Amino acid sequence: MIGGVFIYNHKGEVLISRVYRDDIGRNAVDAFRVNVIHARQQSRFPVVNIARTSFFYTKRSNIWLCAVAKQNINAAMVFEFLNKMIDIMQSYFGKISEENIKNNFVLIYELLDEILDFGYPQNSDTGVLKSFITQQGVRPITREEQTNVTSAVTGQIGWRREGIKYRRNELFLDVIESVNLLMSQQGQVLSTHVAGRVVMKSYLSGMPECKFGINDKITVDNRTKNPLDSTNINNNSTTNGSTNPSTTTGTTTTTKTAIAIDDCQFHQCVKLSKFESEHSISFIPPDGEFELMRYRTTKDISLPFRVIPLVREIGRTKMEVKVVVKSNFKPTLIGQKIEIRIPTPSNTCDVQLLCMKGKAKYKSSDNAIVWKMKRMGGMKESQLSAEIELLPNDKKKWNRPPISMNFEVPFAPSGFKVRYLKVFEHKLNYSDSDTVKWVRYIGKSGLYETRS
Amino acid sequence: MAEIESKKGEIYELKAELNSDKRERKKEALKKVIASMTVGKDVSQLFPDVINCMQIDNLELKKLVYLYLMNYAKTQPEMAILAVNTFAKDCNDPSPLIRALAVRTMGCIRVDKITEHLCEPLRKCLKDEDPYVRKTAAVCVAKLYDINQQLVFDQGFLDLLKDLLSDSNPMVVANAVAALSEISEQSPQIQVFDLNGPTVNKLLTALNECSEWGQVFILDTIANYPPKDDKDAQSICERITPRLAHANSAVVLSTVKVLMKFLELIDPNSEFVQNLYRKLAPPLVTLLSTEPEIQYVALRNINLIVQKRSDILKNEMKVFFVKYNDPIYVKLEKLDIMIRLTNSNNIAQVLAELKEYATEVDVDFVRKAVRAIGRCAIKVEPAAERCVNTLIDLIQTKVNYVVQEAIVVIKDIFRKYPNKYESIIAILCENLDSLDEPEARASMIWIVGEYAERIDNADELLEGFLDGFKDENNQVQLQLLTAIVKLFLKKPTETQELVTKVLTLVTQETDNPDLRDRGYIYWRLLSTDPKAAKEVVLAEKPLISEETDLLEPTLLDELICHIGSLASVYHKPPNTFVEGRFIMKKKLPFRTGIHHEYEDITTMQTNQQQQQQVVISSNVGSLIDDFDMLGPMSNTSSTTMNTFEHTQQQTSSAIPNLLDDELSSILGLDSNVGGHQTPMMNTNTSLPINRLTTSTGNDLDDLFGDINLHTGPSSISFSSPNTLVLPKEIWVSAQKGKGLEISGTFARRNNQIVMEMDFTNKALQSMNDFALQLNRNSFGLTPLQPLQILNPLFPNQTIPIQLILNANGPIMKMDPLTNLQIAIKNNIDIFYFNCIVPIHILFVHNGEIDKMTFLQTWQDIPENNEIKYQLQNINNLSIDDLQNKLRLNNIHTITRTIIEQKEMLYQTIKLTNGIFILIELKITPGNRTIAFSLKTKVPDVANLIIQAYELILSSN
Repeated sequence: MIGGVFIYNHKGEVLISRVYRDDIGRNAVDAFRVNVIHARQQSRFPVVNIARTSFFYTKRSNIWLCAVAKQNINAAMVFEFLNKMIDIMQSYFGKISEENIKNNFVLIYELLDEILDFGYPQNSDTGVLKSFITQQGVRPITREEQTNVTSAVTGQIGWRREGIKYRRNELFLDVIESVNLLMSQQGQVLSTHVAGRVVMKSYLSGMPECKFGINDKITVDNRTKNPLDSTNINNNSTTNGSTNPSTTTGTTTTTKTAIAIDDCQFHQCVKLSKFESEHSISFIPPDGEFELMRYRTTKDISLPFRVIPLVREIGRTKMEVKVVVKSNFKPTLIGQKIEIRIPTPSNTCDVQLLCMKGKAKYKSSDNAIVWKMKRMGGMKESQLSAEIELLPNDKKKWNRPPISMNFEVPFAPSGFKVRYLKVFEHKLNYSDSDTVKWVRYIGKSGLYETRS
Repeated sequence: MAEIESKKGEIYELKAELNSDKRERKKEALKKVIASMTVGKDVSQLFPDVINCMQIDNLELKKLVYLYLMNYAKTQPEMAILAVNTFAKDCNDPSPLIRALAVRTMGCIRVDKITEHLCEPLRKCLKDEDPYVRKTAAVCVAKLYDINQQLVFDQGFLDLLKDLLSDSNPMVVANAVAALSEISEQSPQIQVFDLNGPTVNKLLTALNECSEWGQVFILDTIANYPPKDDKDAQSICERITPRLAHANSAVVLSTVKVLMKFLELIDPNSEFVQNLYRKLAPPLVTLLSTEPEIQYVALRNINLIVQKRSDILKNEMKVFFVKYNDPIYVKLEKLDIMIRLTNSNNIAQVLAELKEYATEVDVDFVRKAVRAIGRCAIKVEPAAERCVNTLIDLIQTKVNYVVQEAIVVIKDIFRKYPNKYESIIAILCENLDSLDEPEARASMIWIVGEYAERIDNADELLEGFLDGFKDENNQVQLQLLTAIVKLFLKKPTETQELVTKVLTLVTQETDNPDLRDRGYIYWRLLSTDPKAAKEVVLAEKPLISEETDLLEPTLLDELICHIGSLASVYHKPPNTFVEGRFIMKKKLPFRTGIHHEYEDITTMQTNQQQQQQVVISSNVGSLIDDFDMLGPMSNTSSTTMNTFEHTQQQTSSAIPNLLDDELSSILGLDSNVGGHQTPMMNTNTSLPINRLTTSTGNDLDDLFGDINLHTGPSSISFSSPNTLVLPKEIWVSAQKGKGLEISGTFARRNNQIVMEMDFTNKALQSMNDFALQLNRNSFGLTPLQPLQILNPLFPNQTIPIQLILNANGPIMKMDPLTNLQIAIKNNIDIFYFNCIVPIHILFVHNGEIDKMTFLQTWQDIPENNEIKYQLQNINNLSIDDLQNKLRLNNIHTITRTIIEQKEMLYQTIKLTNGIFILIELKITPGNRTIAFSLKTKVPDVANLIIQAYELILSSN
């Protein structure tokens, strides 16, 4: 199991060092500094073995996090743990930075004591941790509260404490998809997939049981006489991100098409065995925000934008680049935060730009032309042309990195739809219809690249 | 003065603050203490002051004090005892948080006296009403076990821990499982943890309800459970499959591990298996959209899974396409998997991608991409031409490292498809001057030699290389020698001068024995029988295998059992990077059917055996290719491997070494031979010896040539069948071995230590699943390869087993030094026993040193290290016989003189770990008593050496 956890700043000074096992000595701290942080050649692997000790590390901004072990331990678990630890620290004090870590070192030690025992990861749910590890120091905890805490940490429902009360029971669902694309110069799709997340914010009293329905092919096929299909959800496709409690029924949700989900993963609150057997997603949600589900689709993805590049090299000192962007969604919808990055050779000396819409700039520090448009309606087209002058003497070959694009659109490119979310709370008397629910769809660019 | 506050002042100030009445000041001071501790400053002087703060009833403060205690208790054990009372009190605190904190901290304080006081509170906490305390106590048992195993047994904590497996709280169950697994891994000899059906059932129930980490512990434990039969395996698989949808990748990978292991037991043609394959692919693909570090772990594992069961991901090629901003380690790994999945259906896409990659920036990645194109050509025959064209395009780019890499792979393509693409030789020759890497140069020279008859100026080209012969890398030199001989055999008239030149050069002006010996072989061949030379040198070459870098099947199987863990990331078995624990090798379960299918099974097994042989022989090719071209290390994860090697060398240098610097260079050489070449020896032994004579000189040639020249001398001229071998004695009686009787002895054959055993089955049922493990021992003896007994051992059957041992394993001093602890496992049980390795088995053949060095060393060793003894020459051997007899057992006589009418023999022995022993024998003619005196820097071995002499002299 994990023998120790160290945190270093960019200079390799230790900020946090917590050793769990006797086989890890103080010299391990130095070994990592010398062999990885200060190494002349950057290490090419995230796991390094130095003198029979394995170091697992990751970096956030300029902070190094490192876990050490001498045994043949579960490597996936160590990295999952490091990521979890980062999440926890971020939710406690924001950005992972040297200053924040130094200011919160007592807290970090306290957390490390709780989430890792003899190198075994323990309950690391932020919500629960926050209920008894606080930054404010002494918090008078009553006996009753303490038992609540311990049952939350160890309980079957380790992610939710008892006795939560809200005047208004409300929940928010965000379906956030990132579209990944790799397209060849000729416009052939080399690979594409959507990585989607369903993020839920729940403000519900008691211990509510929720049932969640989506337009997944298997469930939809199974559902022949299922009465649970309903219009009891407010589907809002507002563009500015803030949801309005409109009463417009989401008629669009009553499915026309079902989508094929390649794979999905759920928050630990979802009863996986139930999903396997009945294909229904039921759970008792944590309080506040959490990621309910992650999924991936590869079929029938509607690509919101298409980039058509045309690069011509004219002699050794000149290039012409033409880039056309086409939006490919309903004209009533609007895409936002559009940014197209066109890489240029490192020996570029001058760039002349002309674009029909938005602003384009040549950034010599990034070796790229950055073309930004605040918004763009559906089924539109825009174009940029650039003349690039090159210095002749550069011998190094230019390997034409792909043109990448960023955007945000108000729909789910995979076609993912929330069909229903039912809330049942047996002990308290509020019913599903008393709960206010909001749904929002956001399609974002992941790695959205076109080779030039 | 605040500005010139010394360190002492700082401590003093902290002391004052710690003793302050105000809680806030105390706390601030404590924080400062912890901060200093973190950066490595010594604040241990504050121990009493910090302990005093313990009394305060404040949780946060308490935690800080405990943190300090864990760090410094070991340095101040006496003081630490002051804390015992507080711990005892805290363990009875009404707050479960405080109770748990106390028991958690106590377990981390490794001071004997505290540990004694830990037992009572721990026992109470294991039965605490609050699950939070129980789950903490469960882990504490593992902590205690790490400090004092005996105490855990004596106090019955193991039983209490086992009770927790039935706890109502899933977290408690998970932690108990984790603790038990760790304990049983540390002490496999004790049946700590009986992993049976009902237990597994309990675990599976807890699995659905515990935290993500708990699920990982449970799954990793279930992976060690041997299912009763295929139904058992299948039902467990069904119950854990839902875990594949968990968001935590460790849960997913551990699930995959159990599935991969249990799949072995299920009929591969069943619908169940096909279904499972379909379910396995998506989650594995999803792992590729996680953080890059996790992606890396996942990819290394997918690499194993694809090698074991390629069907699972056969349709997922596209997801392994490299993204522009993937970190380099992800890119390299994806590329590797892409090649494994390449087939004639997707080759077009793959090739287009590879071409794209070959223009990237990162040199390693580009090289690998170019090499991958070559591998595609070899793997997918219909696409070979397209691959070759792509390579030619790449050569035209003139990018130096691309060209060199391309030439290396084109050589392999020529090997695979002879007489097909030789038209491109002209293009290759254009790039001759730009080749500066040995591997590329050697490949090019091979091509020129092989196709000398089609290259008009082959002689000029080779002559060009010959000019700088002495500066070339060894591998290039060998290749050049062979190429020129080939050329000579093809065009004898024009090249006589050239061949004479090279032969003279290698036989007279080089220090490299390999090169020299190969030169002599060629020379003699050419001068005695040119026709035979032609047959040998220009012989048909064996085809090269398609998959050149598959893992060796037994290693692959072992790694499959370690999916998700470090071993699967390094692609190395745990004992290569985990320190000295007694690690049981994990093995995949083996599918056996019901009785009436017996015949089928045996045929299946023989099939399997044959298959395995085929694979192995293709592996020989690959090993050799790698060796010839890449050197001993594969290029995938060179950094980690280098560190392994480094540590290995460190351990070997830690052995007491009696030699002076000059001599240790010999030592160094020896350890190299032991370290690097072991796999080669392995291949060597598996080949028929006569291969050496028939194939030297052809192109695989170099390979065999090389190897044989390294290990060859030992296997031919020094092979000493007469090394004394003691008769086999019974190591494990049938009674003790539950029907298995093992008798054995040790021998030295072909300069390898061989453990020779007879396994006899005296029980009524057949035995299988044999495995053997050696505990750490004084001489680092470890098996070169795992014990392989493929067929079951039937009742009343005896099979002889020869196991070659290496002396480069982990070292632990035993008493007596030559004691060896062995564990043998079969389907019935595990048996442990000790035996003594006769020390003369450990004498190595190259233990001779020259006279001067002998003298020097003799004088350097202090007088009081000299040990004298009277030996009896029982058989009344003549001095020559005596000398010969000793010589056969690698006791080398350095000189023999007569002083004062007494024959003096000066002899040396070198042990496998490099220790030299110097001996002087004084023999008075006519007298049977020999005066024996011995000098070594490690006197511990002296008695053993004397015993060895007596044994050898008394033997027939």
